[in-house]
Amino acid sequence: MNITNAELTVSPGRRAATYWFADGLEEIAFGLLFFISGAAGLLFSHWSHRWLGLVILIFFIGLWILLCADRPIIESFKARLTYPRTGYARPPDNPEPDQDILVDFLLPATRRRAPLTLWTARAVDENVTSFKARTVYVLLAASVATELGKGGRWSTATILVVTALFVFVLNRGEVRAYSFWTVFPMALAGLLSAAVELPSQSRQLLPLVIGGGWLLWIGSWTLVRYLRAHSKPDIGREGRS
Amino acid sequence: MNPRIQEVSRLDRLIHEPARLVIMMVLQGTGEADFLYLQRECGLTQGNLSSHLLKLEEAGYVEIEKKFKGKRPLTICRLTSVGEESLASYSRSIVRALQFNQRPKRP
Repeated sequence: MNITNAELTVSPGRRAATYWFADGLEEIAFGLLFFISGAAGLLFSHWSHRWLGLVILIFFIGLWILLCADRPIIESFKARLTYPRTGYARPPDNPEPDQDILVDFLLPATRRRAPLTLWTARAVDENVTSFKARTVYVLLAASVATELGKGGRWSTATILVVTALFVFVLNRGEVRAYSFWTVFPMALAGLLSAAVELPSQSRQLLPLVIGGGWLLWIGSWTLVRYLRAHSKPDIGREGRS
Repeated sequence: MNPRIQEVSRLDRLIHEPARLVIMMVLQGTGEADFLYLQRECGLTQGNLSSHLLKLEEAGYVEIEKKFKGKRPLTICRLTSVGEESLASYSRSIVRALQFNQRPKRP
């Protein structure tokens, strides 16, 4: 038996939750929605304001669908792409809402649970992720904050830098953690956006474009690395028991 | 003999085998997983995993279900309630025994 797989510091539940992000599909899904909606909004705000309302409506419908049904949608792609290569594990749940929300939000999961949890409680509770709360909602909050800042040049840049920092800090020790250098391009793009001449209405869409583009880039990079590491399975590799 | 030491001799031998213990731990943590995922996580060969799963299924600790995800058939394994209880009981017994075995710190 290969004991390197039995890492005692990471419980099987957390490994399963991490596995959900192994192919980057969750990030690609939200990144695509944010980026396409933001880019379309940017385009229509220049071209024709009449369509801007429709773009916003489509964005919110897409967002609602993804927030409610991201697991089955992403699973249908994983069934073709991921499960034949590296197997199926139950998708992670969202964390239980009965925990102290502030502590849960600020502390990384590794510091919230004692190592002996595995032995004493239902370890299946560790197969959870707060990706939406710590990344998707933070990017949405950045869009709202830019609206409140009326799309000012430096307020938008500051919001994007702060958003990058928030995403970095909130995801430390989580099943989908981002290194400083991974979130750095989002902050840099935010700062560079201050140098671009844009009407304030278009600038309000920048968090969606930059945040979505960033998610899309991270997800695509993860997917490419995953596909390189795991070749297509042989026929009949599916196990029998 | 000390009753705590005696408890070690009453451990569930079906779970006590390292490969089966790892399988049950992975299934408990994951909720449910397919054969390929289990094989990768446990580091077992296909034949080994099959035979261990069969023993666990016969004991009623694991249920195996063939189902489809998309158009692809998957062999899904999950712990039964009996399996969960047995693993919890095993965990309690072995933790108690190991705690007993720890020497007290010298002042």
